[in-house]
Amino acid sequence: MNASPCRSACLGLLLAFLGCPSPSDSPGGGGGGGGGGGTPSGDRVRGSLFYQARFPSVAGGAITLDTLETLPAVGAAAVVIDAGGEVIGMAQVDGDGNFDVPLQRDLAGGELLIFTTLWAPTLQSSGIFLAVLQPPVDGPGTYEPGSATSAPWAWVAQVPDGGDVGRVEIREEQGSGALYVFLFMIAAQATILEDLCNGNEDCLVSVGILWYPGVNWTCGACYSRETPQQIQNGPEMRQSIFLAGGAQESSAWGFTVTLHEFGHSVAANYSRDDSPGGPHGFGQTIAPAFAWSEGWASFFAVSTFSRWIGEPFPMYWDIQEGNSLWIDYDAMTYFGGDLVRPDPGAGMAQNLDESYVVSMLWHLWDGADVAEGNAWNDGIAIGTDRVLRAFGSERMTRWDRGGEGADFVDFLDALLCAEGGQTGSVTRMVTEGLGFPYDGQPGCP
Amino acid sequence: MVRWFCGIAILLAAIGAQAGGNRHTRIEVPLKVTLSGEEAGDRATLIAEVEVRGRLPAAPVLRLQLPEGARLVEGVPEETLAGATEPGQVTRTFVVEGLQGRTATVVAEMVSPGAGARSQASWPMSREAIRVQPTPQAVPIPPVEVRGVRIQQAIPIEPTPR
Repeated sequence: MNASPCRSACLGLLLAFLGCPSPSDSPGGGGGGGGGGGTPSGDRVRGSLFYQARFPSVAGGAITLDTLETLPAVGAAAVVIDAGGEVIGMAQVDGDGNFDVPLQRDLAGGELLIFTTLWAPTLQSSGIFLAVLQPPVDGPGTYEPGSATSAPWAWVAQVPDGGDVGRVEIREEQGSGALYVFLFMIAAQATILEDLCNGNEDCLVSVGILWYPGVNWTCGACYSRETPQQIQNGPEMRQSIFLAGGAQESSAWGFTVTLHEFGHSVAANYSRDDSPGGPHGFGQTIAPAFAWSEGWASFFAVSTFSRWIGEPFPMYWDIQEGNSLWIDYDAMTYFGGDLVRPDPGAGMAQNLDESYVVSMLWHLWDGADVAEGNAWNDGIAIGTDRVLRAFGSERMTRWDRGGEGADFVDFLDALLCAEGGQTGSVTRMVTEGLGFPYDGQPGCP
Repeated sequence: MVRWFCGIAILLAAIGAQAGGNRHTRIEVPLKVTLSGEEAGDRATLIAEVEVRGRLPAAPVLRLQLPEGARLVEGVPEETLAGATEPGQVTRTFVVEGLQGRTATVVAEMVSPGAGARSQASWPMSREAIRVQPTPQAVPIPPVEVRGVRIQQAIPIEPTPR
């Protein structure tokens, strides 16, 4: 698991947080470094790609999205086509936003440079595993989520004589939000490919993300595991994430919401999710399997984003119909006691606050891929590799203890089964530090 | 017989869980305020309804913001809603003079060391509050197949001057 170091393009806004490029080791938009498979001609197309993105600011209880920044489109794929529409070169945008595309044949005039929101791990990949799509709806409004045939986002620039395109920028009004979602979701899918699929593409489940400015969904933002999306003139994505695109929403900029929904996908496809689903609110205690499902998804969001920017970012935030919410999972457990803590005497099957589950996971996880959070140096740093190994293990997916269905107890059991040497320290941390009455006695396969 | 019923019940529960679990949604924001009003001459009666949807770690504060020259005749301009930390609804009434068609705004806000929430509503509804988003305009391009997807239109972008 390689975290991408936060580059100079990242700015300190929300508790030193800001958006950042995707991992440099990711094949990104699938461009790889090749020229499309043929023999290079000697001509090249060069330039740089940047995009606009909005980042949140906290003022009291409010989250605002007034800050518009321009970032390098690290990980996007630059595709060059000739006047007849044939691909003659492809390359990945590097960490500084630059691309340098070797061509299969010399420039003859009329070439175009294309960027899309279609991702596959390599040039040789058998399919597309991530697509950000434009829902085929009749303008702004609120729609019922469902399967559809949708076009991917695509941007085009003309290639001048000599091939030096210069600096191109995708502005907000040109749909830069779609590129933003695409780039951080590449990082998330690449993590799954590496840690849960051991590099085997056949195990990856494809996801179509539907987003368009002004288009909202009756579910707000949601993940649906049984709703496929057909890419127009292309393959089918097996599952869907619907993102609200209204001006009063966190929209494409709400990376915690998008990654939360993708976290549900990760649980459903690579681990186990027994949640009944449905509405869930701040500070409510809910059934263990429901709390685990939601807590896992939010933990996946903040840990994935933290690795993307290379520093701890334990903040969840969202804007819904102009109303905002933020939660600091690092601070909440220990400073202020804002979360609904478990009852030490109520046993392992008690209902839990989903945010408390996130906070427990965060404190078990932080300190390995990124530094410990500010609130508490707890001495436990499980890290992403080990978390995901436990998450996808047989103990997690096939056994059941604690509450009915997969829950926090099953995860702890799976962790201890995989990490026998840390049994004592993890159990102590959970019971004494986090206050959850875990018995520390897993049954292991 | 009992075992048979139990078996059916478990099966139905499993089907229900699968159906319900098919779609996951985001966590709801815990505070929502609405503001309605009635005018009689120069006097307006405003009703703010604060809905608490979760369990809040701190009491929310309700603030009324008036345009210059308008005057609060009845009601409290800023109030900590001490009991409003559990799911429920709180209503407050304000009587205001001198709005003259301009906008009054209420803000409900909760801030604690580890969490925050805010909701705002205006009466009459503020037109500026609705930000119209420009729609990206795509143009036809020579059909090209990228990763097995035939792309026929794209949004034009131009190099920025050096």
